Amino acid sequence: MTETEQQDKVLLPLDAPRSIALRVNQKLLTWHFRRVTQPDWQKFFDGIVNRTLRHNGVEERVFESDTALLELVDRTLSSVHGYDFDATAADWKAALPIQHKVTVGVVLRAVACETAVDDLVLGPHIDVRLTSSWSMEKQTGRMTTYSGLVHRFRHPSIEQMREFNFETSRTRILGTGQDGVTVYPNRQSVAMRLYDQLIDSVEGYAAKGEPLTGIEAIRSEMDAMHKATAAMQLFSPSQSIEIP
Amino acid sequence: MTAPPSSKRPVWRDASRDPDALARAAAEFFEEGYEYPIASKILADTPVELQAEARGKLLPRRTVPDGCYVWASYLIWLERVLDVVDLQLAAAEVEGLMILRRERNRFESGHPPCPRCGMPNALHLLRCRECMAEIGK
Repeated sequence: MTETEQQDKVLLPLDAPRSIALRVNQKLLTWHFRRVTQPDWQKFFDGIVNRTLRHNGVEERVFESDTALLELVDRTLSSVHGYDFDATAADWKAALPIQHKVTVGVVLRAVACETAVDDLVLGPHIDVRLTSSWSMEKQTGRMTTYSGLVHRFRHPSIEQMREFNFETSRTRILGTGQDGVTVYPNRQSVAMRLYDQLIDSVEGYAAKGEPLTGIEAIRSEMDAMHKATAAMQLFSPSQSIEIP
Repeated sequence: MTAPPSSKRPVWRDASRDPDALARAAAEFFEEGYEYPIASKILADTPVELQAEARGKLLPRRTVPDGCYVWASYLIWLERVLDVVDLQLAAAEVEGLMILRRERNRFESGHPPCPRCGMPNALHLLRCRECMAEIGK
């Protein structure tokens, strides 16, 4: 994409405050957030519970992220509108319905990988494309979804692949196979670190009112959830491979 | 009077630093790999709702926590990489690779390859499970 084409496209404004609307019983409720920073996302990733439990040989997988998501929402929420209560009171966040918080939190972290035909074009870079809901349109309250968000990586070295595999394979264990627990590490931390090492350019993003360019600017401005999602796709691609 | 502290407090371990658990995971991994081709054929004809139970009966039971199999999988990947490039290894990786090699040797001595197709077969078998050639003579 040329610079002119990128300027024509609506860019995702990374540094703009985010607002998310809910419609509950025909009433529009809006939630406004300060910028979600990399330390905010790091706390969220650290708070995800991902473990397997085995009791008498029967295995159960436990994956719980709602608690960490509620904490993320509480930490970054700056105001809400549309609720009938005093939003200036000290404990107004505690009064918000948990189900609303979870729903808004799911939107806050909503980013997914796209698959495109030209993913199969081989070259000096690997492109990962993301789609993300980001913020509502002020006039309509509808969420704006940005697609075709390109993260262009240099090819990882074998050392970097090894670092990803090593870090994501180091688990903590308790007990035996019959009655045991395994706690899996979060993959996002190592993914974000490797993102900063491998990213070359991005398309579809803006910061400070300009298209986001330059490796240092990308490292400091890119949303950490987008970093983690793109880098995890780079190292563990979810492709469908079949023998025809 | 307060109760004395329990002497049975659970102790968390790093799966990459438990050589005994890794040895068991590696041995069971190789056994699973051996049983899997036949098990998968049976599972393909098994109704979905019965597959979990059938899988439990067809494949060897795992006796160490899942994290040990995750670590064993990583070491198998690393072993293949080391066939083509040199990497500086951590102590836990070196120790793990040695355990993996020892358990593979143990598995292979108990499952010699078919002289015709090369697939491993248990020592007591008279015919290859894969190509049905006579073995052990």
